[in-house]
Amino acid sequence: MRVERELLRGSGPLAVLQLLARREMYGYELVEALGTIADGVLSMGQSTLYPLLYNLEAKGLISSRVEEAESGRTRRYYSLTKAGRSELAAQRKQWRSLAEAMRTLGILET
Amino acid sequence: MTPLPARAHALVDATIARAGLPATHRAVVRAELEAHFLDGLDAGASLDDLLCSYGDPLLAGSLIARATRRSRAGLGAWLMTASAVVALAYAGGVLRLQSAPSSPAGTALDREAEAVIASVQRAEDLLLAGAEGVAQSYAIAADLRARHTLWAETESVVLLERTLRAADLLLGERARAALADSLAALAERETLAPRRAVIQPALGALTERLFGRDGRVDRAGLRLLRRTKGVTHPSVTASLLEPFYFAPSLSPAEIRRAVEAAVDRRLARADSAARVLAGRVRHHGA
Repeated sequence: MRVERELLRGSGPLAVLQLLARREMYGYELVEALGTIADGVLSMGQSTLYPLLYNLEAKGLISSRVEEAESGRTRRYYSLTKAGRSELAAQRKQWRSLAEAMRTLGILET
Repeated sequence: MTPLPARAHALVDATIARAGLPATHRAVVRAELEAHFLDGLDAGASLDDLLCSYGDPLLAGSLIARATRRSRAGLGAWLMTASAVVALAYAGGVLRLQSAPSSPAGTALDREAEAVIASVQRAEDLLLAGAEGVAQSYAIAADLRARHTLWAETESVVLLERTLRAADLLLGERARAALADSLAALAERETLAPRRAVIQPALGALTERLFGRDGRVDRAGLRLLRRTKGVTHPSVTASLLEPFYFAPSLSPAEIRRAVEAAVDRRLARADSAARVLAGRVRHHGA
């Protein structure tokens, strides 16, 4: 299902933070994971993901490290920082409030 | 390793070109974008799917440029904050040093040092004037010898030796003999070697007077330290660095050691001059 851009705004970074809260991941892994959630509603390509990752890193919410993969290529792994965990917790709280409001309105089913 | 297909290369090139990154950033981002394609191909995705899902390379380049600018701005802000902290700490050190009240004894020692340095400078200027300056220079040195103070004790011996060397060049035999008689008489009255009995107590007083009431080097103390090292006109670098370096950084023990080392160097020069003077007196008496 295609979701309007305005609705998606802000959810991409939150989704990446949530995925990285579970474990560190590299770029392709993140794209694949986002593509499998809810019929690909949160799918994004490289042109969106990597600027998003660099932005989150510039804000200090994630950090990265480089590791050599089995193929001999280097891979950059991203993980959540302490500030990222705090930001994720804050945003989850906001989303829960929003979801509750939508449920009350009957927009979201209980 | 799987080579990157040309079409993928082209997309990455377009993105990197649009991003306009510095060389180091460019290499890092390029490596990551290329690795994404290669990871996808390794995972069994088709090149067409990967190319299709890439998105607009020009938009990607613009967004990457914005994101990395934000990262570099963060570093710049950090550097500015760090610089501001250093500048504030330095200003605080200078302010503390300049505003701390100096002890009267410290100021008196400083005035004494200044007076001795001025006398020595005057004597050296007289020596440069020629033969007529030799006797006046000698008189200044003899006067310093009679003061029995820390700086006068070492500087007078060195000045005497310098005056006698000038006399060798500038004066005739009779004048030189008269000067040698005066030197012998002075040696009887005042000795010609730096007197440790004068220097040691004065050194103790000096090291105490370096520190203000808060137990740290104050303005007069810093000036005393410079004079002890023989610095009368500190360089701009010294003036800029010493308040920052000495005021907060060195412990009192380290500052005392610096003073003792400076006095030891002065004593060594004076002892060397004293040996020469003693030889002259012996030769004259022989």
